[in-house]
Amino acid sequence: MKKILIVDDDPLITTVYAKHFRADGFDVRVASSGQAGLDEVRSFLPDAVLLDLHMPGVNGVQWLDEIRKDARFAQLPVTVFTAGEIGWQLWAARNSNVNFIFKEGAQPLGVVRAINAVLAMAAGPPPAASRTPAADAAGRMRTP
Amino acid sequence: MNLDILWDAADGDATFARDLADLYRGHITEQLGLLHAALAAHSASDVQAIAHHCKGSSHTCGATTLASLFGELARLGLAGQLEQAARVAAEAEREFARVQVILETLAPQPATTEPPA
Repeated sequence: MKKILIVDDDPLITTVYAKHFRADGFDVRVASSGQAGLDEVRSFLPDAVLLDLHMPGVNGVQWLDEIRKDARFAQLPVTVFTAGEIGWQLWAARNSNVNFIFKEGAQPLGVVRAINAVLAMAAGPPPAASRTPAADAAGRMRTP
Repeated sequence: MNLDILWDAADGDATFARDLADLYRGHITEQLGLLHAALAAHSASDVQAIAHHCKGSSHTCGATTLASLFGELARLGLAGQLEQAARVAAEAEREFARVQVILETLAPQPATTEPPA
């Protein structure tokens, strides 16, 4: 079973995304702060992370800095949320090897599809016949 | 208020949509209380942080006008413009009252029973 860790201090957003990922067959853990997320990532060993950039305490950029120091998580797929107006955080996240950046208010189903596409790409190229337009489209959205 | 967004967030599950609406109402009520306290304490950084938080929740639930107001509040908090922030906070409270009325419509309706023939 695919495992995803959601790190966000907003209970509404974590509730929505936990439901969507569970419906898609994911094993989901939620961390309601950056620090809790750091603890959880080390014990849960997720296949992917959905991370809010703007959190009190350990924010998303600090969170990324911390996990990228650990060789186990250097290539861990991380997708981030941003409210858009925090440009320096966005810049820093881009430089921390994140896979996707979604603006808050994105459709949850689109986020689930994008993360599935990242996991599929991480698992290696599928046979040509089984490639999907959705995965191709998600691949084109990948950030540098 | 864009209920389509809430519906998408709930993945078309009416019970979950109602649960989300309840969660949202409770959450924003609590955060508005904190916002008042932050304004009273002249804490611009708290105003910014609380408003930013509420903006994300409001987007997720389809309360788009309220999300914009919280975005403006976050900007004013960041700029330290607390007098203007207090005015926008009052506007946000009025908009939240409107949103609550709309969300009430998601509450389960009592079952109607046909009178015996």
